Amino acid sequence: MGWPLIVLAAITVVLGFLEGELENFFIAQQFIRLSSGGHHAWLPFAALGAAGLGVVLAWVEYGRRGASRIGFVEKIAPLNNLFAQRWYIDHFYRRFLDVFIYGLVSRGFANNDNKVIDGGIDGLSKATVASGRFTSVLHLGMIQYRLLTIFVVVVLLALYFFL
Amino acid sequence: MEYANFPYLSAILLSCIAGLLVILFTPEERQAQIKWISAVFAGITLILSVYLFVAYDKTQGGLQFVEKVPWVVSLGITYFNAADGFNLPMLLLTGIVFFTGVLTMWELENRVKEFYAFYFLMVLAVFGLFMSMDLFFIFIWYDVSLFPMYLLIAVWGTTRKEYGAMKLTLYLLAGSALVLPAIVYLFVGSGLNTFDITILMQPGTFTPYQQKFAFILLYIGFGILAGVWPFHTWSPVGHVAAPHAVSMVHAGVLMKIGGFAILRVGIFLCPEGWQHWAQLMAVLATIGIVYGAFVGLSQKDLKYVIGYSSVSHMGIVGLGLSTLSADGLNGAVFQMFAHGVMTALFFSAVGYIYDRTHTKVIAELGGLSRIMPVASTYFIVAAMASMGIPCLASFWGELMVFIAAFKTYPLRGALAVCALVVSALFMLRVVQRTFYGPKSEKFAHLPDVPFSLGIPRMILLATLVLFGLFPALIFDMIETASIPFFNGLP
Repeated sequence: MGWPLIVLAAITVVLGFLEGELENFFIAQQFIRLSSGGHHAWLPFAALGAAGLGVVLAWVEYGRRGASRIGFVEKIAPLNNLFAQRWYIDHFYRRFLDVFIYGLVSRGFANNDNKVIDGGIDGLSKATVASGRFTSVLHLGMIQYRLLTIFVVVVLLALYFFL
Repeated sequence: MEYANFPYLSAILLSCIAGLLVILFTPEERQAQIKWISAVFAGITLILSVYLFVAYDKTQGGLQFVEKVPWVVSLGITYFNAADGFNLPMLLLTGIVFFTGVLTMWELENRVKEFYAFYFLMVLAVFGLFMSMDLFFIFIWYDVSLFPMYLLIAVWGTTRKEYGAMKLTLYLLAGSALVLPAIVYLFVGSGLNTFDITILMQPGTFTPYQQKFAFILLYIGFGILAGVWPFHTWSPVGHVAAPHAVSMVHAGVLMKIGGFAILRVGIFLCPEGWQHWAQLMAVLATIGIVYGAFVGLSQKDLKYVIGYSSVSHMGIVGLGLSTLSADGLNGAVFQMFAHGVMTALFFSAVGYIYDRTHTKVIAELGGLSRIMPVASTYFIVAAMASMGIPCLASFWGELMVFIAAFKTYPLRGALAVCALVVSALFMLRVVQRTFYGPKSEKFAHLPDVPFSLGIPRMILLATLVLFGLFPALIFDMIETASIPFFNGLP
């Protein structure tokens, strides 16, 4: 198990020694541009400081004589859970998919497809059939329906011409 | 324009007609003979399509294999067929899907004679539309292709077949009702008394107003068949209800008629109308891509998933057409070809699975890759193509369209690319739930695809890989038409 890490570490060290040559090469190829230096002078100190703190913490918890050999993370349950659950990123993805993607967007679009778009078309089709049935009732030959139709048409014509 | 020394295009139509007649004169009880007759005549059309694709002179470009015979002179109607860089990939696609569809239905036992007769009639109309250069014939072929579809779904279909058949027919006839007035309007508006597209597409034939008015009618009319959002809902229902070979032709070829007709009729004749409505086309296409992917995510039926994936992929075709660029047109035509082959492979694979398990419900399947590894492979390869994996044909069409879309509409291009992630999500979800996990014991005894039934799936898979590895075979072809077209625009 250790070999991949050793190989990767070795490559990293070699690349570190060749930094200058690699940088010159890429600049010559115009793959990268030099960043303007000097603005982040605190960064190396912060990085080295963090690394030093890590070494000291490791020594206190594991290296010194009589150390309990229990990391501070294990003593703080919420922090321990955070790391054990890999920052809860998988949980977030799962919840995001279930609640937002499947539950909200996908279901919402599917309902829109079935009820709004298809529902509108089905409604239009049913209205067409209903209007056909209504018209056929008017043509059944019953005198009162015909008189009613004539009366309605006369009223509509009167409204159109006189109002 | 180069006239044909042999009527290859008419030979394709004639082989469909001859196949149809021979099937009709063969006794109903000779089912095996009818299937062999269908395979032979479909094979002839495939060979002719491949020949035309190979024999087309790309260095010369333009219209080739032209056949032109005046029919109704007083109305300017001409029997006018020709091949160019736009329709040759479509003819090849139709040939492949037609032949593999016949083989996919090899196990059919119910009313075999009628099925193949209607199937031949439908494909005859599809071939006719793709090769025709006369507006009148394009409309006739369009309507002829719809009529057999109703019967094929209503008689041989499965889930809610009457509803699916009726819905599909009503939608497509509504599209036809928009296309007809547009064609008549263009015929009258030109004042040239001809339906010949090569004459009508000359600059200055139509005023900008005429082009804007006719284009929107043609776009919506043909767009219904192309599954343009929000006129797409007939498509997934139709896919689910149709028998497998009909689903293959339906999603693989018939929907392409819509996209192709928008290009051949709408864009060719009304380029200023196209430019005017391009923004609207891009918006509808982008909504279709995103919407189809999300709705597909919540489907529980294998065929519904493929149906909504088709809506999303046809959105990519629409987006390509809306970019007003040669790259967009190239990508759209390539995508039509690639999606046609991919979706035919999907339905062919699902067909085999459904014929054995008698279910398409994803939750009832599971672990199928341990029971039917070969059948599963066909589906999974199609799913990979659907996700746009490189080295499969779909990748190139999508890539070209997205490049063109990013240049023209950066935001809509970005949204469409994001929808690809959702598309990949629902495909992976279907693959995982259907083919992996614990296998269902009630299906454990089912056989895998034998070699003979695997032939159509192998042809489709090989086509996806061939054009995935050598996309220039199609791109070079399409460019012979797209670049001159753009150079001739006002």
